Amino acid sequence: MIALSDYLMVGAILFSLSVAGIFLNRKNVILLLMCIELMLLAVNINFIAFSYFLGDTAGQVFVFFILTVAAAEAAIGLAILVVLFRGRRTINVADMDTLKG
Amino acid sequence: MAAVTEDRRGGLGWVERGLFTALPTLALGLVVWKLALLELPLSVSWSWVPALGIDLAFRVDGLSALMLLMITGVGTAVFVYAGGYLAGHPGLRRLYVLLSLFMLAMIGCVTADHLVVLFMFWEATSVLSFLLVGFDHERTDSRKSAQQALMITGTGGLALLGGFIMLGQASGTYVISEIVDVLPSLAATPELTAALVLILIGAFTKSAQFPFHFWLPNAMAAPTPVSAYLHSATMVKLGVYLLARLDPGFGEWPLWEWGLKGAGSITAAWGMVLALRERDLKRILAWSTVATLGTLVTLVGLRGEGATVAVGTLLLAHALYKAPLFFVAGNIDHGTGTRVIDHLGNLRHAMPWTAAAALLAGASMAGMPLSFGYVVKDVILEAKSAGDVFAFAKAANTVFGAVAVAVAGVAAVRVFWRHPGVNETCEAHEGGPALVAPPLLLALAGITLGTFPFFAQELIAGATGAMTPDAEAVAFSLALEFGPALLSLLATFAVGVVVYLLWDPLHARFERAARRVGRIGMAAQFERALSWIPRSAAASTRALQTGRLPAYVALAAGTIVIALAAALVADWPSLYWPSADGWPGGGPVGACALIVFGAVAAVLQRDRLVLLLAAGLVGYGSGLLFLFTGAPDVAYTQFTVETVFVIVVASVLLALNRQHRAAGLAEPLWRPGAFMLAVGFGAAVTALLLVATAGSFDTALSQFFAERSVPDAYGRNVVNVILVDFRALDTLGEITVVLLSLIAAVPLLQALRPARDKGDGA
Amino acid sequence: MEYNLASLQPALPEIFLLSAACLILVIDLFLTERTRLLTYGLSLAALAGAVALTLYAAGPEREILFHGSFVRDPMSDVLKIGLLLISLFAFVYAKDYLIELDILRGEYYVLGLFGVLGMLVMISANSFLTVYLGLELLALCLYALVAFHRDSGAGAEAAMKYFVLGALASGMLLYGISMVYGATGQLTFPEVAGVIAGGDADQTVLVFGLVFIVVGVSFKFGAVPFHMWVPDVYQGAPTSVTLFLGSAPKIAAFALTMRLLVDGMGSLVEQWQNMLIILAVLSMALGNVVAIAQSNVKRMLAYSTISHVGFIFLGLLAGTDKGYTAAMFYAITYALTAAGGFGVITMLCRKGFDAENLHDLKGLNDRSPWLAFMMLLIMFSMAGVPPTVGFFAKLFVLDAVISVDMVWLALVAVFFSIIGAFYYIRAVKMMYFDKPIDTAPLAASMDTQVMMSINGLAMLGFGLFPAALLGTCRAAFSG
Repeated sequence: MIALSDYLMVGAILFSLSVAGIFLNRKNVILLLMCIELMLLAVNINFIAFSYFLGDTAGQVFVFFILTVAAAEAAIGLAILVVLFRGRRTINVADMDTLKG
Repeated sequence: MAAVTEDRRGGLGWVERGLFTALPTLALGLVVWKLALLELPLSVSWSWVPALGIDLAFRVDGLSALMLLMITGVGTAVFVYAGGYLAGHPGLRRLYVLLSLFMLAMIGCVTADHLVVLFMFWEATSVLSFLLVGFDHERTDSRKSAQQALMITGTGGLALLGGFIMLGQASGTYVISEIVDVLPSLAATPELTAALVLILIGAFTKSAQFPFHFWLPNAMAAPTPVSAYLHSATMVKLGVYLLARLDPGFGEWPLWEWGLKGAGSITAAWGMVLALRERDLKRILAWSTVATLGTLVTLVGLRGEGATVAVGTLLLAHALYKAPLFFVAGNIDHGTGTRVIDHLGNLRHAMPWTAAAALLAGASMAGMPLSFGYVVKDVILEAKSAGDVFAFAKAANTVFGAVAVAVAGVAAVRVFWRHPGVNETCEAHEGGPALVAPPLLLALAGITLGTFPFFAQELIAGATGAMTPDAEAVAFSLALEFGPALLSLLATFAVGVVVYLLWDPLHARFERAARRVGRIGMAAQFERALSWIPRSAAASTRALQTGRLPAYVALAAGTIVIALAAALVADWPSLYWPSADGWPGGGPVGACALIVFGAVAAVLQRDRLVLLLAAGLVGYGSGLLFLFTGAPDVAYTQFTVETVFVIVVASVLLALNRQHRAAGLAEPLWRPGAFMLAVGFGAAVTALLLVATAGSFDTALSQFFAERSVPDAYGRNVVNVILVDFRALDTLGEITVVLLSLIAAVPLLQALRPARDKGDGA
Repeated sequence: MEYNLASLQPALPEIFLLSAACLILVIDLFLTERTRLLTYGLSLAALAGAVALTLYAAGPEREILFHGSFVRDPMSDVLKIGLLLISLFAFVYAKDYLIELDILRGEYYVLGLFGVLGMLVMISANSFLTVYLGLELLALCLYALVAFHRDSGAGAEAAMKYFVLGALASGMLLYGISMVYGATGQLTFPEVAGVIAGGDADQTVLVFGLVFIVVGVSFKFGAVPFHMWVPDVYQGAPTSVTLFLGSAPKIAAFALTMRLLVDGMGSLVEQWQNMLIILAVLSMALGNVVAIAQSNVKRMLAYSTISHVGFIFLGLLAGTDKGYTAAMFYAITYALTAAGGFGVITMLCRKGFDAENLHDLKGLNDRSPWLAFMMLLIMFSMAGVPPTVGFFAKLFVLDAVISVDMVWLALVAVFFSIIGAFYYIRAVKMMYFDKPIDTAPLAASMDTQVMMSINGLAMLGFGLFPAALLGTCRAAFSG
């Protein structure tokens, strides 16, 4: 009933949503971090689906690593966010445009 | 006079000057000694980068020997002269070091037998000339012209590199002597044609050929010893040298022949015209050098062995008269403080030795009998009449020769003998022996060779042999002849004298014409191109690098869409699309319409409550879709979740509205570009996935769930079964997370209450 | 496979560096401000030790560890040694700068060491998983390093941009990897290559995955149009971090491309060749042209990096051993050149003054002739002027491209190199011909001066004797 392609579709939709989220969002940096998590989630869905379908556990192992790295990434992202806020008193995406040219 | 030079001498001691001067002298001695003893051609080779077959290969044949003699001979004169000219200058040591390195690079250039090695020395001369022209870097014009010279010759050098690599690839070897042998037998492929064009560009930039001619007079900002060395005797001859070197290989190509003849003739004509325009003695000489280089390139392009003899003799003669004339210009500058011919005149009393040198060199340039210049004119005339030269070239030859006579007249006669009184206020003085000896000796050498041309016979024969593929065809003798050629030379000379006498009126006329051409000329175009590059760079960076993160991601996403679309299009014929089981009925279409309407409405709304309801429409639409496509259990779940979600969020929003804390969104989120991109990205990924999964992936996975639902979990609602049984542990985890977040939310809600109380109280 | 300690020998450099970094992290906790330099010394020792162990473990054969996840082959040996030595330069140059800006903290070197470790893992990766882990280890360290100067607003902005775009790139790469995994059912490169070559994999899914993998790699490399983070991050990061970021990771990115595209998907060369052609041309064009408009020297070098990445891609896309050799030579020598270029800029910085404008180079010859000469060599090498090593790097790449009959590409490359020469020459002109704005004497510690001299003269040395390095690179592919 649920074909592999359906899982892949969900993954693709999540992935597209996250990419669109990054370039549509001008307001809040935290949303960017969430979009990035969403993107990794999309990848995880792909891996799990393939892994199950192929009957190969390597994909699931990969997912564990992605989850771990995603956690570390989120931590670093939030830390940078704090530094950014400390210096600028804003976490508005549109305000991050002093470096250009 | 000597006292003045004595006083200024402080920067560098005698010993050091002597040591530096010994360098080219030693080199000259070595060259003469080796040439006298050894049979040409000599070649040596060391392996350098074996992986690419690059060897440090050197080969000295007649042409190289001629160049070597010029480099070391004029080099010796220049080194001596520089010591006098820049005595006391704090940068003299730097100049000597740079000149020595330059001489080394030149020697490398004319002896290299491997294209890559030749290119390396070639670029080294460009870079060193940049540093030498910019020697007086305090002055803006000298910095600017240094940069211009480097831009043009360096650029040409890179073109040359491209040409060399292609030439090497096409002929299967990078060794020049082998390439020249192989080339005539190769077919004219586009690669080889491109290589030829690139090499022409490289040689033309170096030898200041049209349309790259304008850098050379500007480079006159260099100190005089540098001009005499680089811009008359050696570096600018490199282009000619390279063309002559490759001529046996490319000679039969029409593109080569007509490229050389065309560019050379235009350069010669244009250089003569522009020489008439100038008032600065050094710039006059520079333009006449440009014209001579043009003549040389034309001669290389001419077929027939007479032409090659002419190339060899003109190369030598030009070095022997142009370098002294540059020295003379330097002496005048040194003695009077100006080089503008309007302010100069009657200098023979103050500067007798310089005047003598000028007269001797000028005689050679004008092609007077008994000078080497006469021999050259004779040979050129023969070459041109022997070759298939059209009549225009013959007439042009007379005119070119005439202007050369006039230029010689200006440099040697006008400033020393005419215009009495102009120069009286200046305290003109002669420089020391270091300033006088080099031009005198070089000019005397020219006269000696003119009177006894057979001294140069063997040298020129060697050079000619190297330039002509079948050596036995060349049989000539340099001799002082007063044949019928003398008549035509006399004609040239007469016209030249007329030009010389009419110099000032002609100048006024050409000045006007040249200014008009100058506005659309190459130099102006070059400047325009140079200023266009930074402007376009600034514009493109402003447009692309906005500093805004969303724009960056949008650009990347756009590229991905294009890449995916390209992949789709490329594979189009072999694509296998999923089969559609007929058109869906009205129900699903309506549900989809509801979803789309809700989504668009949500995007366009400012009021958050309406936005929420619009978003709810999307959810209900999805539920309907599930219902129509045969999944009532999923649909019921969707409806329930959607209702609960809308009610909960709406009540929160209403509560916030009561507190006047939920102002609407500042602006509706309608951005056409971003919308298109988002849709495009989604569409591209979806389309590729549809295609990708339709073909090969079977539906084993979904069958697994459908088959196992009833027997394994005794349930008919697949969602429930998945949630409760298959993913029970996960669901438990999720519930825990929800509970935990509730616990976290409680203090937040409590914190909200006093705030509202306070708000009510106020 | 029987497990014993001896079988771990090929991974010794990584294991050693990991242990050393952890140890240094702990030791640093007990140091005071005055003894902080011990961390610096220990970090250098750790890198030197890793070099020694790499040499010890090196060999012509190919060894595979950890169930096919890790490989040691001649290519990895060469790249690792190059990487470690260039990191050594980066660490030395950073010290004075950090002291001057008063941000010398132990974490800097520990993060740097972990970043190096990540790159080593990338170089030795034999499966998608290993590549990803190495890449992320490097990226996480770099994010933190870019934001290292906490009081600098530009640093935080740069770090955030780098983080978002870097994470996006990782996401793209992973999405592509998941597709390739789905199509082939394998994660280790030789098996993936085997399945693809066998024709069992779904072609559309593979190309789909390939697009995303190439996008991810281009992001990490900084190729146009995925370059947008490069100038902003180069400018915003502390100069010593820009120096690290702009040098060694280019080698790692080369390894990443080699492992993913050549080892893993070598038989799809026709597909990725076309993509790389577009990326290379765009990178050379935009990088060289836009660099002219820059007045900030860090931004200028950033755009110059982009153009050099185009050249590395040129070598890679030739798809022959000759091309890979040329690209490898280019990556290693460019990393060394970039380290020197940024190193000179760090040496111009003093307390309260962060030199980053092109004008700060003015009159360098009057202030320090030796430093100016080193910078001259570095600039000439970047511009490709013989006899510096940059010339040979370009020559090898052009030769490789022409030998696969892509003459037009070589001509495009030459054309944009010519434009590129413009801004390098302008920098040289400023150093030699202009009056200095700031006449304060340049004081640099002994170790920095020695390393800078080695670095600058290496430009000349490798240019005069390119055979040794080229032979080494060649041996990495012929074995």
